[in-house]
Amino acid sequence: MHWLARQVLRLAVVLLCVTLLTYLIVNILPGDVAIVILGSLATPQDIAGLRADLGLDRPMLVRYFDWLGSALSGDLGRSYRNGEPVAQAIADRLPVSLQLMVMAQNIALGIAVPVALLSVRRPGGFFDRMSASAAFGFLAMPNFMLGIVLIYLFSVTFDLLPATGFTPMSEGLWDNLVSMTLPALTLGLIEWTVLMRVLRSDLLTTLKEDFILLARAKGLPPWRVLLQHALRPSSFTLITVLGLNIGGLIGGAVIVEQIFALPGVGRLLLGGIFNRDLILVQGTVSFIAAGFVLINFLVDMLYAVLDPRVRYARFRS
Amino acid sequence: MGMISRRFGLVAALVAGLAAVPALAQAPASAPVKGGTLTIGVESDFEGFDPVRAGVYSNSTVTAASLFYETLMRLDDKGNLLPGLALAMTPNEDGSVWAAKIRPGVKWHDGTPFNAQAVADHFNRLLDPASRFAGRAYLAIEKVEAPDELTAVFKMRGPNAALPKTLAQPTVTTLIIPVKQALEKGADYNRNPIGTGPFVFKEWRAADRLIAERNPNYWDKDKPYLDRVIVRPLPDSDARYASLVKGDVQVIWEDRAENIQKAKKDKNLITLNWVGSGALVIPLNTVKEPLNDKRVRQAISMGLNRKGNAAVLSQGLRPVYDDPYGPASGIECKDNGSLGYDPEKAKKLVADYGKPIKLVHTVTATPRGREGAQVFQADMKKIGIDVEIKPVDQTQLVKETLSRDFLVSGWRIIDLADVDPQMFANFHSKSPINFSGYNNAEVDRLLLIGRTSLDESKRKAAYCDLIKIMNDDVVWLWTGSNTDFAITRANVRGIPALRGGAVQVEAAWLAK
Repeated sequence: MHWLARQVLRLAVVLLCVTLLTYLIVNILPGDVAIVILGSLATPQDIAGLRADLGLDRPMLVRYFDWLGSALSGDLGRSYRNGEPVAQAIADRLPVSLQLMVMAQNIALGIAVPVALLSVRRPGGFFDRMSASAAFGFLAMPNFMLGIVLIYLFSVTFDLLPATGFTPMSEGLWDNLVSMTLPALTLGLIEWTVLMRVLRSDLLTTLKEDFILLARAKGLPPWRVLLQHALRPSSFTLITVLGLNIGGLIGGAVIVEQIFALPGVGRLLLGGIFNRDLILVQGTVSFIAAGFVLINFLVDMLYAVLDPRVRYARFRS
Repeated sequence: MGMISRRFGLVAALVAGLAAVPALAQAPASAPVKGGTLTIGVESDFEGFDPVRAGVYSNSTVTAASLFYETLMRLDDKGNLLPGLALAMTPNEDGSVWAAKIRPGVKWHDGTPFNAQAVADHFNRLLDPASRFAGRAYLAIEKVEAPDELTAVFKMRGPNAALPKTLAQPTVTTLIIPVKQALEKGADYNRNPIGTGPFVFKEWRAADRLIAERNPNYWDKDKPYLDRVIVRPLPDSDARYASLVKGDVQVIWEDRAENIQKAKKDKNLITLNWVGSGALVIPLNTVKEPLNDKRVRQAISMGLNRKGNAAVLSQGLRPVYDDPYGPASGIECKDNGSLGYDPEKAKKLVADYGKPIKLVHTVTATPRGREGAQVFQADMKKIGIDVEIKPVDQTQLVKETLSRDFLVSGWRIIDLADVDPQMFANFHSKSPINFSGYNNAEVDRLLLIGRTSLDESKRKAAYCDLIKIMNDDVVWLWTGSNTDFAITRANVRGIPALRGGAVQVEAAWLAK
């Protein structure tokens, strides 16, 4: 429990730092939401009046602590631009982004694990070399370009999937999955590459361990050795990378949601930045940062489940 | 004169083009078909539908707002006035008071009657300084009164000839909302609009789609033809175009030259083109050194290859004129006093000035802003003027320009049916928005004629006279026209001129 308390304390400090840093960065960005709202012809008096109404004339730290106090009770403020509660805006768009990331992560894992397993059967063989080339090819491709290529391939050329847009689950699970397939594929096809390379590398190390030699000596078929004995101890780095890659996935989601016109959190954030809607940006970035930190905290916890040695070490500390 | 004849040639080509495009889109001989759903892909999400809260409407928002809201007057594709929510507008003797005869029997979507008081409430709310509605700077209206149920009286700040046309183009100012209902609903109204228009608001899923359905009680019993309209913000232009090609949407607003050129070659698509009034411009600060010297400004004008640059930057899709009026304004000047492109003469003027010239060009930190600044910089280098490019955020550019904290900036004179509001605001010496600091008594006098004369030919002559002076003085550089494109599937009919870049679908229908 001592270990858990320390982790929670660390989590709180990280979150505080993240929100403060976000606030500072967002506030030194050039641009003024009052001009965005009032337009290019606004008089200086009108601009000053609106800034006062929005509370933007108060010192930055006062505004930060006000915001932090409200945020702790779940109130992230209201959008300067359209008055929509920020927490509500995030809640409305979160399911879309979560679904996108979960589907993308599943696609990535669905490709990475079998490819890594096939690759280590004959390291340096034809499949291993081909998969490495494919991985580097996808890794080098920016997701906005991959998205457009997939649209032209699957929507325009073969007419299989919609080019843009989102169908909510309430209008049918199948239609929903169809509308999310291309965006998730765009993210997943880039994500799998790192996962595959990491898993392949760890599998190769594990396959040199004594217990694998023993398993082989017992006459177990190669696939059982790989799946039952080598995969689990080789998945630590994979899980760490999965947690860390959430950041990359969120970054990718911002772009993918924009290309495919998905009403997710990434697009909300981008709109906030363009409109200099500082409170919306602050709330969204803080929420994403909190999510990122929490997921990595859970990944830490997962080590203990996977490896008894970690559990033991934590118990002793 | 060669330049002038080219200009007339371009105008003639444009008029022919404008005539051809709607004809193609409307497929003569077939009557409009009723029913169906039309999906429009626009560039951005909507600011909201309460003008005071939204402040400004992008062309995407005007496209959506035009489904629910209407203007007092309307314009046909040639710029002639047509009745809208008002049957007619008549001035007093000097044009300082205009009376609008309100169309009887019109109702808001909630069933309450639309009347003159609603018109007065709408405009008076925007004019009230407490509402901080910046668009009031362009309105020359003092106040609006409603002496009876069907008469709205516009009292102007002085004689004003431009009012009916100004009120005819759909904008954040002219699209009329029910103030009583908006105030009752508060912030909620911004996302749940009520109007008198051909379609009734159904649903707005933020960043995804806005859905509107046919208004069964619309005052024009034949319209609208469509049952349902969906407006989808599709920010990526390539994905937007792909959605159109696939048929996920039937109409898109487009500005990417590559996609427009592709669409022109696709027999399943129709490209609609509108060259409006106004222009893309480079304002010069005429009160700061070295731009307070007319020789320097003239050198810049003669050294800038505006037409060559526009041909490269817009792949020839955006014509350039020697004035800020554009063909949609109806103003054609035989002699606009353009100095033309003459780099050799420009070099002589620079030499005559005698001191090194260094300019800072403030632009938006966007690819479009940078590209424009880079060609300006390259042209200026050829005539011996150093230009430093200063890319800034859009709001920063607005702030610095309006506070006259600039030398060379990037701006736009927006596409309005009458040129008066913008010309007066930008160039009259007493205007608070005259950020170039231009001060010319003769131009002031001509601007007043343009604003006040009820004789259209006198107004046009005044605008031609003043542009001759301004082109010689070189206040702003006109670098491109306000050109908008929409691309539709081949079966879409009845979309009118894309004024201000908005796609209006009251009369649109889908051919079988």
